[in-house]
Parts: sequence; C-alpha cells; structure tokens
Amino acid sequence: MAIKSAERLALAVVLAILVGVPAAVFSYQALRSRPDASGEIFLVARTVEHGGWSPARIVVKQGQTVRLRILAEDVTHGFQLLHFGVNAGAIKTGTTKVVEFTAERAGEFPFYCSVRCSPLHMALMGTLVVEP
Amino acid sequence: MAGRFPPVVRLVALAGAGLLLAGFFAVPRGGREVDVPLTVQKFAFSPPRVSVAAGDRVTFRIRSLDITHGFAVEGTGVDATILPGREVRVTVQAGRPGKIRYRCSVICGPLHPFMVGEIIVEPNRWPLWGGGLMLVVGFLASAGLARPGMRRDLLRWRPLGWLLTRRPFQFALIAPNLLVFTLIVLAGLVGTATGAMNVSTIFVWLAWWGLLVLVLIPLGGRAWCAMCPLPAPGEWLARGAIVERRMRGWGLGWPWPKALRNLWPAFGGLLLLVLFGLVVTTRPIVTAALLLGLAAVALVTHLLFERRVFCRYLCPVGGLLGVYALAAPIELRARDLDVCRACRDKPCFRGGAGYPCPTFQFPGSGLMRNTYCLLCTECLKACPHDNLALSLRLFGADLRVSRGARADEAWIALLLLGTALAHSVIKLGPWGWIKSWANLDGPVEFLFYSGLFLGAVLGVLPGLHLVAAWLSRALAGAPSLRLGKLFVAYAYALIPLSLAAWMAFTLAVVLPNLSYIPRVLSDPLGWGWDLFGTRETTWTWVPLGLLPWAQLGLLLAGLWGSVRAAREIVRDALGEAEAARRGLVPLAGFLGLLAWAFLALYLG
Repeated sequence: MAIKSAERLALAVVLAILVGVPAAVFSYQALRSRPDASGEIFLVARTVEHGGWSPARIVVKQGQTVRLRILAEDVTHGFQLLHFGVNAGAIKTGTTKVVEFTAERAGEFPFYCSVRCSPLHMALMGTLVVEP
Repeated sequence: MAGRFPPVVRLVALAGAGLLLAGFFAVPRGGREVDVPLTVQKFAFSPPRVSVAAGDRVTFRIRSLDITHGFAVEGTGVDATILPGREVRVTVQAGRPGKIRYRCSVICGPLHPFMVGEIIVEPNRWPLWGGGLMLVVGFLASAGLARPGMRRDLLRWRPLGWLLTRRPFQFALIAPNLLVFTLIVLAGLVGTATGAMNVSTIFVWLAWWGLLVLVLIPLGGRAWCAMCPLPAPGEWLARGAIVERRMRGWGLGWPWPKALRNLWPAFGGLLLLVLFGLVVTTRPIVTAALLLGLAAVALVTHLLFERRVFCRYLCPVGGLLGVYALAAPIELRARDLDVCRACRDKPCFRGGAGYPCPTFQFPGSGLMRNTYCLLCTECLKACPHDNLALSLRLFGADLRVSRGARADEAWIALLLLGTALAHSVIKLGPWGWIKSWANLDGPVEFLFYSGLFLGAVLGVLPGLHLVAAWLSRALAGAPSLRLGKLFVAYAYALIPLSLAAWMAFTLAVVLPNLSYIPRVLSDPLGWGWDLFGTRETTWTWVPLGLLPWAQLGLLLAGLWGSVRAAREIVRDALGEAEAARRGLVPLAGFLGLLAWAFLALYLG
C-alpha cells in the first residue's frame, strides 16, 4: 500500500521536530562556546550547593587581556579577583557583567564570589591560571 | 413581585445593600510616619503584612538575613535591591485604602515568584462592600428567570465545516505544540535549574497555564485535548498513521479494565499534582519529568489498550478540563437523534471514514455533556449523514443536565475548588512558613503541610458541602432523598465559581511575572544565549491597577453562574417548586461564602 503524500509530510515534520530541536539547541550551544575573535570567556556563577563556578579553572597566557562575561545563574553573586584589582560588584540573577584586565603576572590566583549567596558562600572559589 | 421572595431573602438583600453603602463612608485618619523594620529571607518578608492608615508614610528598614533579594512595591516606582549585610531604607506613601503588595524583584530561588508581602491600608473596605455586592448578585441570580437554552451551529458556516473535516486538521494543531513540548522537555532536562529563567517552567506554568485557564477553558472547554501533544505519539503508533485513516495499526487494542472505567485514576493523579504543586511549578526538571512521564504513560496505554484511554480515564489535566468543559459555551452534538438511531453502521462510534470516537462517546445517545468529548473532530469526518453540530451555547449549559452526574466528577469539582483556595493561600499569600512547608524543605514539615492540605481539600470543604446538602434537604422537607445523591448533584453547582476563582488566581500569578517571558524567549535554557536581544530584560511590574476589579468581576460572574446552576440543579433534585426555593438557600449561602472567602483572600 502506497503511503500518501500527506502522511509522508506529517512523518517528516514529526521527525524534524523530535530530532531537529535537540540538534539545533546543542549545535547552537557548541557554536557559541567556541572561543571567538574577541577572546571573551564565559563564566557561570552558581552556589556551591549547585556546582560552584563553571569553569572553576580558567587558563590564560601571561600578558593577555582577559575578558570575562559572568552570568549569575541561580541567585545574585559577585566576582572578585583581588590580585588583579578586579571587583565586579553584585551581579543580579540572570544578568551578566563583563570584567576586563591584563594578566600581567604568572601564577595561580583565586577568585571569589563577593556577595553572600548561600551558607557555603565562603567556599565559592575558582582559580585563574596565568601561564608564563 | 416582592411576594415571591421569603422574608429571609429580602432581609439578606437589605443587609447586602447596607454593607454596600457603608463602604462609601471611609474616613482617612492617616498622616503619621510609620517605621517598619523588615527582614527578608528565602522566601518571605517578616512581618508578612503591616497595617497602616490611608495617608501614612511608611518607611521600611530592610535587612536580608541570607542572600540578595529585592523589594518592589506594586503601583509605585519603588524597586530596591537588598544586598546581604546592608540596611536599605524605602519609603512608601500609603495612598488609597486597600491592599498594596510588594514582592521580591531579584531571583532568589525556586519560590521567588511567590515571595510577597502586604501593606494593608485601612480602612480597607474591599471585603465589606465586595461582600455586599456578592449578596446582591447571589440574590438576583437566585431570583431571575431562566432563559431557554439557545444554540448556534458554527458548522452552518461552510468554510469551518470544510476545515474541520480535513484529515490533516488535527495534526496541524498538534505539530506546533509538539515543537514547543520538545523544547520544553529538553530545556527542563538540560537547561538551568532556576525556574524563572528556564523556558520549561515559564512556558508551561505561566504561558500555557495562563492561556488555558483564562482563554481556552472558558471559551473552548476541552479544546486543548484536540491539540495536546502528549498522547499524540502513542495514538499515531497505535493507529499506524499520523494523518490518514488506516484500518490496521500497531496497537494491541485490549479493552480497558472495567473497574477503572471512571475518573478516579485522573482524580488521584490530579491530587498528587496539586499536593506537590509548589515543587512541580517551580522546578524545570520536575516539570520536564512530569510531561515526559505523562507522555510515556500515554504511549504505553495507547499501544496496549483501545482508543485514547489515557485521555479518557487517566490524564489529570483531562479530568480538570472535562469538569470545567461542562460550563464552556461550546458543544459538539448530534443534530437529529433520529438520524443516529436510524443509522445502521454508526461509524462515529465504530469507525468508518474517520476513526471511531477515541473516548467511546456515541453522539446519538451518550454524548449529552462535554466532559468526555475531546473535540478531536473524528466524528465529523466519520458521519455519512452530516449530522453533527458544533454549537455555541450559553455558559454552563451542561451543568443542568442531571443525567450522568457521577461521584468521580463531583469529587474532581470539589478538589479543584479546594485547590484554588489552597493555592491562593500558599502562592499568593504572604505567609512564608506554609510556602517552605509546601516546598519539601523538610520531611516533617511536608507531612504537616500534606495533612493541612488534604484535610482542607478532602475534609473540610467537602464537609461543608455535605452540610449545605443536608440543610437543603432539611429545609425542603424531603428526608427521603438520599444525601449522597444530593452531595453529588450539588457539586456541579460549584463549577462556575471554582473556574472563576482559578481565573482570578491565575491572573494574580501570571500578570506580575509576565516580564520573564521575553527573557526566556531569548535564552530558553538559561545558558546565556541572546537570540532576540531580550535576555537582559530585568523583572518589572506590569500595571496591576485593574487586577482587584478584574478579580472581583470574575468572582461575581462565577457566583452568578453557580447560583443560576444551583437553582436548576436543586429544582431538578427536589422536584416541587416551593421546596426547591427553600432548598436553594443553604447551597446559595455556601456559594456566597466561598466567593467571599476568595475575595477576602485576594483583597482583604
């Protein structure tokens, strides 16, 4: 029995939806997370209970101008990197802030959340690695 | 004219008018400076409500005990950010008497959208004169004349008839919803856990629920069932076709067990859903799991059993829609029952050019009420005699059809009414403790909450309903009638009021949170995307000045519909006119009391 064209079209639409939506979402995300020309690094802040900084370890080259776009994902967070004099202040939930600095010194430097975000706020720490 | 009403009714009307008048004599005595130390903590303000006089200036000294919150006052430009460890002073001018809500404006966790506090500006006469209006409306509704039911068949308009009988019509409705459903489930599973920033929670519980309750149910009854994507894959596989009519599919077609041929499974599902309502509506992952779970159950049942048993017996949303569809102003019925009787093959029920009715309805005799009609349009396609009508009718028409009144439906009606009341307290009220209890913060607290919730929804409210039925029977002087039968029959009178209360509740939940929609459109998974340039949209109030009026109007309309339905139902149950007039009083009183409880909760 030949399948009618309407039936074929409907099947194509259904498959396109079920496969296409996840494919579109994940490929767009993959495209976005590739380092682009501006060299912007995307940093997500979460409470320690929900996984902490992502990525928790950022590696850059000495002398590089580092541009961080920080997203507060679950509650309001802050960002401070004292060794380079960076303090973003409060970043409200769902919004991003951009900080920029030059990684002049080589070494490993901790960065912290500067706005109390949970009972484990003090433990919300990440590491900036500046390679010589 | 006046002789038709017993003295007690006239007295009640007079009292209503008196209350109404009293509302106009408000004497402001304010002008003081009021200082309020306010602490904020997930997910409540403390004290949760302050009472001041009209004309006072209220200065809040706000401190956060945990993390960053916000303090935004409805109807003013005030929106302060409360960082931990720093006191913020905010001054609010208490102008007109009534209730001023303030809420957290910085996402602080799952229950953030329900973190509210209240300033009561005295003298707040909303409950008083709203109550007076309710007495008047209830009185008028119980007195007026019943109009004969009118119908207007939409299928007389040829293009609509043509459209609904095209085979791809239903698929065209389902496909866009399947697209959104796929995105929602995906976002719930892999997207951000922050409910206010995930398309799954925002679209299901704000956009879909809002449209469903405010538009689709009141106008189209079960119309959602015709476009719902959840059962679609199972149905397609069972039929072996998506669009076309095929005689043999892949479903096993077992008969559904006799013991489960009722709405009790749907009632159970609905009860669980509303009990865990606060968790379900604020967690993307739970939302996705719920939708996937329902779709999986639908898939399995449709492959094993005949037709759409999931939609007919199991789906909790189907139970809700089925009960409210009784009040909807649209119906699908046979035009001429004699034609159906003479019809030999009955293809609408047994299958023919179209699929047999997925919910086992036969328009020729069984389909007298909307409850189980999915509006899927298969009978239109199957009928060789063009004997079906899709008609506009008066609101609440099916509530008067006493044939087919059942305990399972009645209990769903009671559950829905109780849930509207309970969720109004939990989600819209300023009381933080019950929010955290309902939020599964601790097992013991959740047990307490479950006891309270189930006791109120399954105990107190049905108990009051039973008392109303008992009083009605006693006043009517008809002790031979079975109380259980009255209990069931009278429950249908609650439906218009409970739908109206859900609408009033939904307005109050949806409107203040509308500004989350542009954000999730740009960033559906909360991954920092910016598809349309709206991701940094911060939360703002939408103007809510008309909300109290809309809520009052909805409750009055619901009360009107309920009392009208009650009149017919009581007369049907008690028979004699004089007995019915007396028997109506307790039920109408119960309805008025319920309507007033909602009003007092929203505006008092």
